[in-house]
Amino acid sequence: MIDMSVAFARRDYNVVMVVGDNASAFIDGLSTNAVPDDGGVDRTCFTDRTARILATAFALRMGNGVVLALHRMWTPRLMEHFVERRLGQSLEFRDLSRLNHVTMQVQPGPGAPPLGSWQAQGPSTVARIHDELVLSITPGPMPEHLIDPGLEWTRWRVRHRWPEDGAEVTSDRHPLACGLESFVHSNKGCYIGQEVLTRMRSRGRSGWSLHQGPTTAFAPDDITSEADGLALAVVRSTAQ
Amino acid sequence: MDCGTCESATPVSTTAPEPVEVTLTITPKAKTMLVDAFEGAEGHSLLVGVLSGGCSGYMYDLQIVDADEADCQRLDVDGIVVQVPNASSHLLNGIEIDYIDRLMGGGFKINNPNAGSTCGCGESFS
Repeated sequence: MIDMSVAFARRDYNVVMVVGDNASAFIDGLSTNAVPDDGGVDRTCFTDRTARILATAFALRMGNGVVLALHRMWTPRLMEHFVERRLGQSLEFRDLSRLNHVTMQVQPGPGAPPLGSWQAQGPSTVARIHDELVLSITPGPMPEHLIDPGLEWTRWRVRHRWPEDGAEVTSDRHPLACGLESFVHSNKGCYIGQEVLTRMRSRGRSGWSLHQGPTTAFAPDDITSEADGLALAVVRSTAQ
Repeated sequence: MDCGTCESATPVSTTAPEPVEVTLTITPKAKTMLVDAFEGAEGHSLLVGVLSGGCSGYMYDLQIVDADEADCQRLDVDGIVVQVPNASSHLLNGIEIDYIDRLMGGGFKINNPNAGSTCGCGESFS
C-alpha cells in the first residue's frame, strides 16, 4: 500500500526558467507538446531531427516565462540546444536549481490544483501532473526528512505506466517508444522531429512501445522497471 | 525566500556564435522576382533571417523591409539590398537565393551549404 503522505525528494531534478516575450513560442517550436496556457502545466519532450529524445520536462507557463522541471541528466544538452537556437531573440535562461527543490507526491482524489494546472500554495508552486500525482517546486534546500524515490515510487510508476527518465525514457528512444505518446501533440505545428513522429503515427509503426504487464510476460532484456510481479517493458512489435 | 523567478535572478551565462561576414548569391530568376516584389519602391531591401523551430531545427525567414534593421549586415547583391542579422550570419554564409517556378512547392528557395539536412517541405533545415 502506498503511503499517501510521502513526498519523494527529487534531488535529481533541475529547475530552468526561460524568460522573454517569445519564451512560449520558442519552447513550442522545439517541443512535442503544446506549451500550456498561463497557469498550466504539461509534460513535453524535446527531440532531435530523428525524433530521439534530448530531454523531457514538465513545463509550467508563468506569464512571459516557461519554467521547466526536468531530470538533471537532460539539462546540459537542453541548455546547449536552447542557446544554439536563440539566434538574437530576447530570451534569458535561468537555472533556478540551487534556489529551489523539487518533490513529487502521490496525492489522489479531488483537491487543488486541477489536473494540468499549477497553483501557488504558500511558498511552493504546486502542479498536478497526473490524477494521482503532484509536483512541487519550493524555494530553499531540500528538507532532510524527505525520502528519495525508491521502491514505493517504482510501485506507483509501474502501476500507473508512468515512464521515468533514465529507466523508460532514454536518449536512444523516441517519445512513442517509451510511453510518452500522449505528450506528442498531433496538430500543434512544427517542432524538431515532427516529421518522423508524424510518419510513425500515420503508418502505425513506432517500432518500439511501452507495455505494462506481469513480469513473466516479457523478455528480461525488455523490462525497464518492475515491482510486485508487475513490469514496464519497452517491446519491439513483431507485427510491424 | 528568493526562488529565482524574479528579475533580480542572474541568467545563465551563454555564449552566442561569433558573427561571420556573409557572402551570398541571388539567381537571375530570384532577382527578377525580387525586383517585381519591390515594385520600384526606394529603400526596400530583403531581410534574410533564421528562426528557431521547424521540423529540422531552423526555419528561413524572408521579409521585404523598408528600413535598416538593428544588428544586421547590409549587402548589395547585383543591385538588390539584402540584410542578414548578425545572430544568424553563421548559418547563412554562402547561401544561394533561388526562385522555383511551379504550382506546388514553388517560390523562393534557399540553397544552403551549411545545412546538413532539410525537412520535406523545404522550409526547415539543420
